[in-house]
Amino acid sequence: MNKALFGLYLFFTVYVSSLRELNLLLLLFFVLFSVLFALKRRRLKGFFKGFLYTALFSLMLSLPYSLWSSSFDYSIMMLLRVLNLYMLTLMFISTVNLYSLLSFSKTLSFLLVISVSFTLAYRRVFENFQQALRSRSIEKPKRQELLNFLRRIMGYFFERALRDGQEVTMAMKSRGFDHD
Amino acid sequence: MIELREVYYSYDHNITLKNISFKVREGEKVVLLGINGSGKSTLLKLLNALIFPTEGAYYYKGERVEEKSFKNKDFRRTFRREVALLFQNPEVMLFNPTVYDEMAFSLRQLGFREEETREKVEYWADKFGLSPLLKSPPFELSLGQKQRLALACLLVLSPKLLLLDEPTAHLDPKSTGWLVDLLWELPCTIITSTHNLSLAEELGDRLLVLGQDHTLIYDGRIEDFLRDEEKLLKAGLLHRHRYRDKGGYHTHGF
Repeated sequence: MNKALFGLYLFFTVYVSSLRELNLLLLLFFVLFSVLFALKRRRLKGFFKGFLYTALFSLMLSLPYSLWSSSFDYSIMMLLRVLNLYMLTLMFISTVNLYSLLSFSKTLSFLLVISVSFTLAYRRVFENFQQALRSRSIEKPKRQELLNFLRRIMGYFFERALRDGQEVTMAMKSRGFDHD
Repeated sequence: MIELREVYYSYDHNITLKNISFKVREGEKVVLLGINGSGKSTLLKLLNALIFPTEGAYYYKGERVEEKSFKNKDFRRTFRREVALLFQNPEVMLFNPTVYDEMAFSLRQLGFREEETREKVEYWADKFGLSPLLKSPPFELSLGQKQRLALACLLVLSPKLLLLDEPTAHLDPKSTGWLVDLLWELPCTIITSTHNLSLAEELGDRLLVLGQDHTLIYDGRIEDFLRDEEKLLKAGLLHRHRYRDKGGYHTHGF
């Protein structure tokens, strides 16, 4: 079942990526949006936040081109494509058990477990950074203070990702993943 | 000074604090004990108003602390100045370019003159053995130094309520002893969380224990709790294992 859904997901990903007609993209957008809403709300935690960030990121990349070429169709097409793919992916990961889907490959399932555990751990640290700033700020932080804060967060995660990466590599080697 | 009335807190549909009620008077030194995951850090964050109760109420000096209280600038200013939290991971608290700037951060926000700021920073840097490091970037320090710096950053403001989340976690035994002495010297109210039984007695005179079910299972004198094996076992603070040579069972804490 999981494999069939994965095949369907791949097919639709390629199909949506190749669509150019705005009407069709718009129709698909409404269909996916309605299906997502028909699913349980609990599964869609953070949907709107992700939706907004995806839209902003897509517009940030496509708008300069549209402004330069004076045609906004391109931006709208890209935006619809990206949002459709976002909803499709969300729908896929909320219905399919990724761990069992990738269980045919030991390497892939380990990579998935590592990525998920890293993401969760880093999210917790990031929340702590935000809370620490809030806790220490008597007034609203000034621009320079916010810049210092952002710089530190980036430095911290870069350094930690390198350190964790080395450790994970060694741990994987010690468990028999010696592919380099 | 603070009061919690039937407080519940849940995150991602998981309850992390369940029906917590207690009062803390001004000047008290309270120890918060519990195993990992019992909700100690969550409770301290709630007392620092970084998160708010899902149910129940939290009062600070008689005023209810809730999200909307922080829209009032005077309340926010007073609360953030008077209530300080030392995070379990000190790294998340340090984001300024130098140790000096780090310690001066809150003082500058309060509008202290540079001479006054310098005076306070130098006093606390000296007390914490950080004077030679004032120009260094905080991220270059060792974890123990970062822990001391994070605490110094809070003390420059002379907080009224100090919340410490596992303050000895990154300290060597010598620094732990030094910190224990320092905490008793401070005139403020202190709530210190730990899972270290042997240290609990040194850190305060009253004990709050969070159980594995996230409820408050004890509120009283430390000595009485430490002598009650049944309560210790219930809190998950004791473990039993077989004697390797004799075969019988042996129970002890952390």
